[in-house]
Amino acid sequence: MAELLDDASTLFLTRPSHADVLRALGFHVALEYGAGEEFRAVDSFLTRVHPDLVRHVQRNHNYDWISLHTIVEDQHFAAGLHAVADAVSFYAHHQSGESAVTLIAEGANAFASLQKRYYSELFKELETFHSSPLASLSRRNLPIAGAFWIVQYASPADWAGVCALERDLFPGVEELFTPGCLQTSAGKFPQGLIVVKQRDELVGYAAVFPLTSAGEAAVRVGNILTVCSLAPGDLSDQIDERTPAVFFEVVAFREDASRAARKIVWSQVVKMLRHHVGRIYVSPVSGVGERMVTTRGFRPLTYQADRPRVYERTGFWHERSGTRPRSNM
Amino acid sequence: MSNDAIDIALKESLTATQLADSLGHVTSTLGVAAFAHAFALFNDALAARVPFLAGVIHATPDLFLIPALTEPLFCRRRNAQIAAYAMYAANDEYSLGDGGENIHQRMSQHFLESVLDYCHDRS
Repeated sequence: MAELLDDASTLFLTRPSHADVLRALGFHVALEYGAGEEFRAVDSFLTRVHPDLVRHVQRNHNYDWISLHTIVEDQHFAAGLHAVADAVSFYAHHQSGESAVTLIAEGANAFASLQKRYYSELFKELETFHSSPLASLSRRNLPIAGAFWIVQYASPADWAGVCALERDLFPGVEELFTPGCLQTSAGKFPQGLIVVKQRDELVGYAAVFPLTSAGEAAVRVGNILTVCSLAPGDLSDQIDERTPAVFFEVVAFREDASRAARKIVWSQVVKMLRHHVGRIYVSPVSGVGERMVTTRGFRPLTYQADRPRVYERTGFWHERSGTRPRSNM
Repeated sequence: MSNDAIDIALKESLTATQLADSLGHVTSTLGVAAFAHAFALFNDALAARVPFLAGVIHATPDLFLIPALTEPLFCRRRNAQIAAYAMYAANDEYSLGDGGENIHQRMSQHFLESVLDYCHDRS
């Protein structure tokens, strides 16, 4: 990519022969033509696919760079065509055997080639980039440790800490984990409770538990807001293709939890949900959590105005990094 | 060779549709940030060559001449005229209005900073 950027600035321009000057002119007029197309494509993509980002960038006029170039490049291109017309008319070295038109066309082709190589390389990198973070993380098994943190499955010794952390993170919420509840749920499916520790202190956790058919029926008819309200027989000890449903109980972090550790927790949650193709139930208790589930196609299962709602969704949603909730659901 | 060769060569560059198709695969916000960075770099590199080209054309004095055999040779030169058409693309690029905030490199930096700021808030 760096070599292509060098060529973008200087191809045909360092110690140029007469022929190179004409090639450089062809390169120039082609880039002015191509730039207009590029800016219009980027503008259209951003406004259509990322309108929130565009609104954010438009504040303080920082989107002007894009907007301006959807227009001015056409004027630059028109001026470039004048340059080409004059260059063809006034070229004084026809006797060299190479026509001005041929050389200008060679330069224009050189731009097209460079532009295609640059974007081809870029999109190849982006493909790896945007598919990798969660996917590659989710291929790793816990525990995963950083410099000062570790993400691991909770052990029974962590259950009291998880309950205390939950009380801190969700003040005023009634339906919280208890050690007895965790014994029933995490005791049955230990991979369902993931914790983050920083310097031996719990700073985050996530819980996803598989349901039996009886458990799913209980959720659907009983306005169940937490697995703690379920009987032991309602919970399964594995997630696989035959699992009818899972209860995505919680994901929450203290403010100071490492970003990298958060990503790993999410990757592991995604891995569990991706393997599951039945229904997912969730009962967010915060506005952020509620927005998260409603923007991912979850539908409310219950409508009691004075209580948190249970939402359901059939099948896994494709997680888009960068749109996850920043705080707790 | 006719000017058609130039028209054909121009149409070889990526069209908005082709680029939009590729962009459609950039789904994550972080992917958009990475694209915005690369896009700004590429356009900055291309912008840098415009005054360079104008200078090179101007500094190649006898390449573009009117054919009439008038003297002196200096009066036949049209290199600055062609350089001026090329340089037209750089006029707004280096506009010093608003305390330098209209220089296109500065504008692209503000754009990129805002994109990164947006992504940072959501990662």
